[in-house]
Amino acid sequence: LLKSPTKLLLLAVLISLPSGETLGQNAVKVTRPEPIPTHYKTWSLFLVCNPRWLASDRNHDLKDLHDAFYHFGDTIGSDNAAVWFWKKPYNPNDQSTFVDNLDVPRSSKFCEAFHLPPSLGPYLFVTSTYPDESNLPDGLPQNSAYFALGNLQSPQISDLLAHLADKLVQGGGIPTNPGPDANQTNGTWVHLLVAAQQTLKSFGCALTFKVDAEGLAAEFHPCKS
Amino acid sequence: MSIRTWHFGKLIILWTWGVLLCGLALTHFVSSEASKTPLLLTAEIVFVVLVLVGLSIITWHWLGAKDSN
Repeated sequence: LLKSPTKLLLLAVLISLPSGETLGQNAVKVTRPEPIPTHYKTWSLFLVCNPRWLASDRNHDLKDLHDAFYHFGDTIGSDNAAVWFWKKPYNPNDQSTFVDNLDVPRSSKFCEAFHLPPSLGPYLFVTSTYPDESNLPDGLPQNSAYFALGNLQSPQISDLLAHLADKLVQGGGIPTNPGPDANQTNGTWVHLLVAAQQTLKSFGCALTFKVDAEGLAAEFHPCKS
Repeated sequence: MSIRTWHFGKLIILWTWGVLLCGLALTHFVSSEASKTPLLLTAEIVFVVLVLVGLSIITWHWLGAKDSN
């Protein structure tokens, strides 16, 4: 049946195609001990190696980042992969194990090899050189960039991912690495404004007003967030 | 005309307008995304502070002419 060279070649091509699990899914969730898939032109690794972000009060930010990763992966085209490391297959219905299931040691291995300070993470590491975990270089590989997300707010992360998605989809190569300080200058002032907003909101929400006039009573309860 | 001779009602009118404008500015301030329009939000919070400081100074001057008894 498969005696002709053409048919044999066809069979070889079919075997070498990626499995149905990862084909067409660019938000790649890599679980232990599965390697990072190779059949892409670029890889965007979400590296969670900041212990501060693993604390329970940052759970919400981490889930927002995971959602952002998922949407980013869906929009960057079939040649580009967005990679998130899990210990075991992710179950969206089981939110209690979200942090426990993160493969932090695997992310930390990259942070350590690329000399990325954990305190500025999580990081988005983008590269067009296959990130071979068995042979990680000492320092950033060629054609790669990293973005420190630790000091960014969710809207800023979304804007950054949208900008990166544009670059990757248009084939504009790996975007220039802004470094951890580039976002810091603008970020500090925005941080202050956000802090002022939160203070005003919490101040307004903590108050209860009661107006008691003759025959008329009105009560304003604190808002529930 | 000196502020100290103003009628009490004038202060009420000034404070009413001041609180209204500050309330509107603060409402916009807390409901906007800081990362998108940081300059506008900075101007708003500066405006609120200036209006409240200005009204306080006017009220302070007005009270300065009043007898304690």
